[in-house]
Amino acid sequence: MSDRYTDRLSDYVDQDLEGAERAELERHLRECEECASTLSDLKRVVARAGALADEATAPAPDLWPGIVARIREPRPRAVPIGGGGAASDHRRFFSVPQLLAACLVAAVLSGTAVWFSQRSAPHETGELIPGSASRNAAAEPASSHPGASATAVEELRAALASGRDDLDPATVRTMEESLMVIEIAIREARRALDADPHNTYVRAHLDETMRRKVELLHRATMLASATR
Amino acid sequence: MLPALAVAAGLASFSLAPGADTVLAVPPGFSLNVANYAGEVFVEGWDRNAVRIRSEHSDEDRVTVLSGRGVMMVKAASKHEEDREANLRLQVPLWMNVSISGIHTDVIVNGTRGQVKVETVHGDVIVRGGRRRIDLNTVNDDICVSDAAGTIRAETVNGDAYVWRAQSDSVDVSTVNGDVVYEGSMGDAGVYRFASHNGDVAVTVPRAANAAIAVSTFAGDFESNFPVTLSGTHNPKRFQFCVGNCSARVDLESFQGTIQLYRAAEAASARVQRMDAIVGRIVEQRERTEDLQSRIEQARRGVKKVFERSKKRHEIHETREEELGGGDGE
Repeated sequence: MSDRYTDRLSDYVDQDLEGAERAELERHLRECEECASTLSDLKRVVARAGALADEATAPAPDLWPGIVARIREPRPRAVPIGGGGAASDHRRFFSVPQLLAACLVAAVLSGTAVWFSQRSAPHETGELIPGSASRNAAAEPASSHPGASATAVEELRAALASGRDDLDPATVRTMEESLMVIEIAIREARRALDADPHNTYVRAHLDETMRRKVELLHRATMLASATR
Repeated sequence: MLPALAVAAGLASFSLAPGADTVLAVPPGFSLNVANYAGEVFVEGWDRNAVRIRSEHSDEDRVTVLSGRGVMMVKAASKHEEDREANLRLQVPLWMNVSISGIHTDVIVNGTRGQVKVETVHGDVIVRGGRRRIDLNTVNDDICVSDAAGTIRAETVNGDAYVWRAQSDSVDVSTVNGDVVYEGSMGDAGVYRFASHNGDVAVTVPRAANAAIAVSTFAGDFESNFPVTLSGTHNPKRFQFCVGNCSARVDLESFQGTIQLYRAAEAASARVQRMDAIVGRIVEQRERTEDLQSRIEQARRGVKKVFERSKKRHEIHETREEELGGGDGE
């Protein structure tokens, strides 16, 4: 013996019953206390499960909301090592307006070429920071073969430009902003090197930042080609 | 209760339905590759030679599992749009090497003891645990590593990087536009590098450390909460000094931020305690979600019981009516 009413209660709750079928079940529910009670139980359970499901599938909150503010440690006292007085906050994070402004600067691309021409000049081919073998290795792609690397950068840029339409806008935006962050860092390091050409730290830092740029372009290009 | 166990040793390929919960046995030595364009990947170590995969994704997207030749691959092939998210929850053997990639993807790896490699563009990376080699890369967000051992590489462009309670002889943490924080071991034969262009670099030196520390900045500052004696030339922006017998090498670099040096105290610093609490909350949140899903499953079972009870009541009711009806007819 099968219970044709009970089997249809779930469809009824989901509003999947129509017309005569629905009317028949509603008629039965008015007469049958058992089914009315089952329906009431069912609605309660479904409502509860629905609430739980909403909670369970709610978008994950950003992992680090305001984390910087929360974990900021009291700063140590300044140690007087010829730094000139108490420590000042040199932290100058790039803001979005800065980045947008930087986007308008046409010299961004030419900066790379200028850097490479500087790198290939005889007086610039000195050692990187002594004793930092891992960093020298890391900087290899950008510094050892400047001509080839410049070409690689341009090729990657061209590949990225051609694949730009294949990437979603948010990814393009992120990549461009990050590229801009690196470009600004490169320009700052380049200016620093102009002011202090024998500064091995700044030169190594420039190499490192160029390596990041190449890697980022490479990654963007891979992404663009992977989405085609 | 876990669903039935399938075997992943042979070549296999199948798709997961939205809401799927699957367990696959894996032989020792298998590694896991996860690719998820957008959403979250949460990986947790467990004491079983099996991988449990739970996936929340839309009907229009597809999550595929490929297994064979020592690798299991879980790939969420959504349409490449950031709002088309797949959330993957995986439990993996403690020994398993894990590699995760994504674009708009947050990654959390908790309590594993294998290698961990993460590459994402727009997403935070949190790793608690990991051994041998930890290689983390994001472009536009933060990296956070604790309780890891082995070689650690963490690199971001536009975010902060935090590493604490690490046991490692080789650490390289860098960012362009963010802070770097390190509070971990400094082994005598270790090589450590912490660098930022625009942010601060804050490093805690263990009490028993023996290290040659090189500080380099161009327009930044140096601060220390313990006295240091400089060796070599006294350039205020680039100098070296030793703690203990100078055996390890530590490079601290910030182009225009402040390099901060702390001497470790007996207890973990307040910063580490706060970071632990934050990561703990994030992991708990994910585990609570799993608890909620199990409660939903219980609710479903509750519905089934309600139906069964109701059917029995109806059977009794109808039997009585038939009996009564039969009696009337006689």
